[in-house]
Amino acid sequence: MKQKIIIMKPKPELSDQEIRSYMDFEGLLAKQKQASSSKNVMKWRVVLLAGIVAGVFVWLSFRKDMDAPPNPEVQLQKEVQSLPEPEVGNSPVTVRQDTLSVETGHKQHTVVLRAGQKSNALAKEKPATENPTHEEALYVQAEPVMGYADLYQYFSVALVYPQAAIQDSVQGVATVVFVINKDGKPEDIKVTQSLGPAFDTEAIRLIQQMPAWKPATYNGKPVKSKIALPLTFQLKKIEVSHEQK
Amino acid sequence: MIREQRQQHEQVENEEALIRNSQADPEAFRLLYEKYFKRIFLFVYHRIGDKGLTADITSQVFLKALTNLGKFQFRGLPFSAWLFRIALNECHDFFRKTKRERFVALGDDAAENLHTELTAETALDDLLVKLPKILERLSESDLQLIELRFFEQRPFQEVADILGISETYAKVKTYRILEKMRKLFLKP
Repeated sequence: MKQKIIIMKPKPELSDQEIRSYMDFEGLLAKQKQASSSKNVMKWRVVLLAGIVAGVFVWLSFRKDMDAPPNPEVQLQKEVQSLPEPEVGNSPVTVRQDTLSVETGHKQHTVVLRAGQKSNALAKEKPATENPTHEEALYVQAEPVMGYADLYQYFSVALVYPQAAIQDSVQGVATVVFVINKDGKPEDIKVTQSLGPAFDTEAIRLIQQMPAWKPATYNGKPVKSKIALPLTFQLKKIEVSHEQK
Repeated sequence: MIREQRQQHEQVENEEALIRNSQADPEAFRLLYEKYFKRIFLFVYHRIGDKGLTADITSQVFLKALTNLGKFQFRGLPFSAWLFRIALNECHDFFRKTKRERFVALGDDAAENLHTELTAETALDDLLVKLPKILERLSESDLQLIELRFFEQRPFQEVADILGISETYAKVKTYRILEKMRKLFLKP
């Protein structure tokens, strides 16, 4: 709807005196002062908020650095690279790779089982009841009692490639997420990245039977923590001559 | 002539100094307030048509000017044009919020000028009867331009300064709008 327009003719004129009666410079100054003070308050609020956000960010980064576990995978990979010929059983590192021969029809395959490529704790459960108020609050991540190397050795020995999947030559990584409870036992085991039901069953079995863990601790008290482990199921065709060597 | 130009130049320099001082000390704004209050008040009053509302809007115009003085830049734009622009925006906001009727103040000279521009063949009274309906058909920006140029009889340069457009564009646009108005006026 269009705005209604009214013509004022003749043009209304007002006396200087009448116009001056509407002048109020003091009122204008008061309003300006009020506006600038509220603007300042807003500015300070923004600065304060930004400060708080920055503080929280720095604190979280600090906590993250403190909580970050030494990545055994990186260390292990370095060691693996430094060893030209990994030997089974000689060191906790080298046993991560194991081979077993499987005959499927006319083909001869070697199943290379590589377990525990990573030991990331994707999400750590912080205790809801305990809220750290000082910098001494310490979170220690859960880890296998015998160490990660031992765990990987267990995986490489105990992991059985599902027979049903050999003919399909299924390979890949299955990621298993589980909770290490306060007693160091795995529970709530789930496969988040699945390669198929047979692999899931094997992965879950492996986690259920794995060696004991030390639970995560928060200020020395055991707490639940969530762990995610990728398990690599890989088939590797090898030359017979190489096998005979 | 040279004397007038010199006086004008000095005036602008004084105004510039006043604006700079006002940024640091709002009390220095008093001189500018007193100098332009009447012009801004009448400018608003001729559009709003109510003295009380005009006083409120004028006060708001000066408050915005005072709080935003830092944004005003001396790049050939007169301070008065900047104030009128703020006033125009305030009036526009007022109409948008309240949906009130808009007033257009028309002096005798302005009516005759407009009549001559549109058509001299019909009677002036015919134009005055039809004018509200013709103006209602214009967009807000077109109405502002016609109002500034014909009803308030401002030079094109000032019209352009207030509307923030070039002088050439203001001229071109004015004659396009006049053509549009002429068609609306002659339409049976």
